[in-house]
Amino acid sequence: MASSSKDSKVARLLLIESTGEDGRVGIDKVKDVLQELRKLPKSKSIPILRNYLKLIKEKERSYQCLIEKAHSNDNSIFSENLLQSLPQAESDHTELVTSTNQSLIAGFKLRLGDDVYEDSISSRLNRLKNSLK
Amino acid sequence: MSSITDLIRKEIEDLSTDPTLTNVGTITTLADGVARVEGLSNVMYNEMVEFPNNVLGIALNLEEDSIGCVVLGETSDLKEGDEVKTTGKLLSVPVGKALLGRVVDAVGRPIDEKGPIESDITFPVERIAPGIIPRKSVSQPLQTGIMAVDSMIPIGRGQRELIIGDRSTGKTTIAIDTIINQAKINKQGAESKDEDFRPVYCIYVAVGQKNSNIARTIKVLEETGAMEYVTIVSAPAADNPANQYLAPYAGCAMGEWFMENGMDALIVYDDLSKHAVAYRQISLILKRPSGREAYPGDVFYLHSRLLERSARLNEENGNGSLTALPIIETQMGDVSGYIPTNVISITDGQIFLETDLFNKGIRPAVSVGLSVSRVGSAAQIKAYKKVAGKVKLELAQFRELAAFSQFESDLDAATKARLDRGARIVEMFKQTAYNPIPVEVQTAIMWAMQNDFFDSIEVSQISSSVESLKEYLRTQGAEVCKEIYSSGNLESDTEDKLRSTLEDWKRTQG
Repeated sequence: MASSSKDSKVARLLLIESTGEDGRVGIDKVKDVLQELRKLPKSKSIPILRNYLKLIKEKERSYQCLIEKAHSNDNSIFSENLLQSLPQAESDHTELVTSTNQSLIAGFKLRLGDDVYEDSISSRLNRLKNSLK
Repeated sequence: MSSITDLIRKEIEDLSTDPTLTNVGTITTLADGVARVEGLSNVMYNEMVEFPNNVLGIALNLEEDSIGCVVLGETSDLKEGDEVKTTGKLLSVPVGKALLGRVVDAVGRPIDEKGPIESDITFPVERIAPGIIPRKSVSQPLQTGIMAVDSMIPIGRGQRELIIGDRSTGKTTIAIDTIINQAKINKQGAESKDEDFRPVYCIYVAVGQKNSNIARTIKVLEETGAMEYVTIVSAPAADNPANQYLAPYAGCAMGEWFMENGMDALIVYDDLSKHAVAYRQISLILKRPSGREAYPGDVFYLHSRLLERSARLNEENGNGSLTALPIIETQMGDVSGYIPTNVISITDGQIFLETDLFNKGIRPAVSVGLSVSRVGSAAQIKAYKKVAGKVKLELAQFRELAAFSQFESDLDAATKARLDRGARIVEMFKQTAYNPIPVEVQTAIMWAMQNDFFDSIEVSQISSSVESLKEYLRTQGAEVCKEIYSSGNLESDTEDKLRSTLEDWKRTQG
């Protein structure tokens, strides 16, 4: 069941319908949209749903700040101030998700939307490796 | 040892410790050398992107919700879900004299096992062609060393001359002969220590060819001593279509460096039919709308933006030039195909090679009627212009009369003379492969033909007589040839010396 550009346009309109004044996706609004989609035949609703899900995920990702730290107890490098200093981050709406990634050796990696800020030993070693090639 | 540690220490000192910001995306599909990527919200058109394992790609399709990237390397290690990063750079290739004598791939990496390329200058592969103001009209000849071409279809420095014909008609041979001739002239010029001498550096771009053919070409260039002036950009048939698509642009960037630094360069695109096919393949995988013969709508722009980059620059811009010899393969001699007509309309003339002539043993199989150089005699030295002026007309008349004379048993004397002259000219133009003739020798041979020195020789013996004359001029007529070469003109006293040399040669013929 291949999705067409028309399905993609409909999904975009549905995303606008599901978004609140703060720019975030509202759970009640999504429920309303899904209710409406159920009325359509499956052959029509599934391609739209597929696009809608992709857009919702994208939208949610843009409000999620994923922070990877080398060690779980490493709080010395960043604080709430770091998040506020990032240009895209609207701290009121941004959700902070932290995880541990030991391959970083030390430092952190922060992902906000498609942008990745990285200050870790592993990235510096990689840069050195590339410059010595 | 200490130098290595110093080098590492310097690299560490120079290394930036600032946090990095990259724009990333994720591979969603990967097929036929093309990856569809989600994310990469800040990517630019034609920007280089980095896949895992240091594999590079180019963002070619910027769509609303995904990016189409062609992968320039091994795709077997990539998989769905892999992270892709932007680099903020356009695809660039190394340029400069360090590339001469080397064989590189479509992104300028050496593939000849002769070590790294010592060049720290790079040029982006996609560049805007020079505009009208920095250009100058073509006026300086680029000798191919092929008599049939230099006399009837002269090529100038900065010109775009298409070589077109069916498979196995000698298209590549003409291009290789031209490269070999440039190397010979370059060596001669270097020996003469003439400060005004301008060598021509060559770039040979092999697109979609068999590896064995490319290896043969390299061997010929090495055996003839031409390789030291040549860079070969190789994107063989086994390479992915992205590399085949990029190779001509990479070669062009290498040629542009010579042009922009006041030097002369020659680039051969062998061939653009296969280049168009590679681009069609990429476009179809990227789901771009297809048009005639399934080629995308911008297939004309594909070749026009490439060939427009060949130019002759004026004195204020360094006086450099980039001459292009694109090659197109036709099917059953059909020049009205989509890609052939496109490239014919872009170039400044074409050398059309006919299968029938090739099979008759007339090699190079240049069709006089269909070949043309829109630069004309502006790209010939004065001496050559004097002797070659009437040849094309004589040969065209011969072809016309030869067709009619098949039905006519009783011909008048004038017609017979024209047929006779035409047959001799055809024989004179026969030339073996990889054996270019210097311009001064060509001038002397043409002068001999115009002044009836071949009239008493049997038509079947003309080729061997031309060979004997070439040898005689090399040994006994070196002085007069040198005079023609240095003056570039045929003064009356030079003509007298030439006549006397030719009379001496005639006597040796018995």
